[in-house]
Amino acid sequence: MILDVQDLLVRFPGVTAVDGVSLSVAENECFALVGESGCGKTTLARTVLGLQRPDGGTVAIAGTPLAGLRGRALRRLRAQVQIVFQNPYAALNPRMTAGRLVDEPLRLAHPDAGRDDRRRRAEELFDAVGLTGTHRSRYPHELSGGQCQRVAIARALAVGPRLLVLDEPTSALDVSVQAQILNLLDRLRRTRGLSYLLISHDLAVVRHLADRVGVMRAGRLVEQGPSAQLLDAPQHPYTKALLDAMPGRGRAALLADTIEAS
Amino acid sequence: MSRPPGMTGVVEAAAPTRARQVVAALTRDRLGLLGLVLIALLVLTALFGPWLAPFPEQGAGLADVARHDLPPGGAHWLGTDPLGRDVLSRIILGARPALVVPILVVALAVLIGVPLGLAAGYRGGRFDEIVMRIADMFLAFPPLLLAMVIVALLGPSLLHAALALAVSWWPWYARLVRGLTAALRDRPFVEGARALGLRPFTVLSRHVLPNAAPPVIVQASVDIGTVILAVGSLAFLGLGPQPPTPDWGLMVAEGRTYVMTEWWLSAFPGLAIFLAVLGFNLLGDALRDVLDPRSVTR
Repeated sequence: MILDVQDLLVRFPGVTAVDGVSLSVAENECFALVGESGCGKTTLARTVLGLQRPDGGTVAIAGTPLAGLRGRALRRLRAQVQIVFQNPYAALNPRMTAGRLVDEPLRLAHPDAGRDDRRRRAEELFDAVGLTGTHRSRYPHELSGGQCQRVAIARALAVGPRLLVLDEPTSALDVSVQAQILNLLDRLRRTRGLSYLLISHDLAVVRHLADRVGVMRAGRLVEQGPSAQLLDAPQHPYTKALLDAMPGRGRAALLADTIEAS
Repeated sequence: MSRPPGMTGVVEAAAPTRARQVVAALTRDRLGLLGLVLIALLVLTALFGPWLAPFPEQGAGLADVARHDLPPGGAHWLGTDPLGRDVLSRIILGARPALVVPILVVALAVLIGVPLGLAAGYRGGRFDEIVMRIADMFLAFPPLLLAMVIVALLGPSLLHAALALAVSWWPWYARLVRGLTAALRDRPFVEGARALGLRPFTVLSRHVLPNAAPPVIVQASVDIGTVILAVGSLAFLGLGPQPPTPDWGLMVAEGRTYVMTEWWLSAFPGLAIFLAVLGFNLLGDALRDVLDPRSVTR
């Protein structure tokens, strides 16, 4: 298991954001979390990233529990899990160029690498996410949303993670760009053996990427199962209601076509 | 001494601003340009004062009693004082301390306040509480009063006055930066930087500080003007530089006794203070517009 969450509990004053959630993500698997806003998906994701301390339960990354780790050891384990945010503009420091944004994590992951070595690695990453060298000198505000998201993905990949948390990775993008990014994520998973923890409101996206789906409500995981089974034949009444309310039902076919075409 | 209300808004996704773009934008703003010109004049006067002053040795304090109390005109454009010293020369020689001391004060306040604000805003919790309550304690004193107490303890001198003002000024920067940092901390690009495994120092210096800097720069510019006034006030009260140092605040104070008959003794140093403060305030206002990306049209 690349990610193993057991009985996770996160409390904020007045609310229990995550209430006894257990889930796991296997090597090369995509696990999707769905649920309405405020159900605790994002808090769960932040806890997995080590940005939020749990009040109970455990999070283990590749078999190593996050709890008790501090300083250097925590930072090293963190590199195993990276995040791709919803709004690509907010996810990139507006005062750094795309080149520097990718170089920074490369320096971190390869402290002994020389400039030429890092440059080669950066080129490889830019290539892998479908950007060219001309984008390196651009600032985020000089790039399109899709290009920013590619930079954000390259930046996340630079430290060599095994799990990517995808927090609504396409919902801030145009539909045509959404398909491109989904394709990219698909390809990266295959070629790099990545695992994904996907957070999404969009059924079409979930259907396209996820192997398994978990449904969250008020901090609890009410149902989980293989995505085809859960999406087509939900058991829990809340899952049924949620799936009816989620966008992307009719769009799934359309998006699938776009993905085929691109 | 009133301060402009602190700016608490976090700068939205700032476009990268290069110094040249900032200067270009400043020169398009007429008042900003005036501010730049005033400050440039002040800087040039401070740099080349000893060569510009018509009577440099009188400016430094040498008396020429025979030519005392001359009204403006002739060889003495701005008149002479009761000791026969050329007022223009003394104003020109006073430019250096008038510029250096406030910059020193603000730099010191920024150096203390900004790191504390960054740490408090980023770490939060008890550390934040302690730092901010200490800052509140300093803010509860009227700055001039606090400075007077410190100067009274250390003895009057320009250096002590500067030290005293810096001590009463840092909390403003701590507070401003703390607010900006607390808002930036939860932004995705900062969380992402933490998730990469960057050290807190790197996250703060590379990702938080550059995005919190514009309001601090604006505040610093306006504050230099305010500190010029404060230093002048301390000097006027006799708590700053001592005679015969050519200092604008001290000159205003010395001329006070004769203000009904020899108005030029206080009026011209007062005008110099006014122009210097005006320059920094105009620059601060213009910088606020230029550095605030919401108003940037590109």
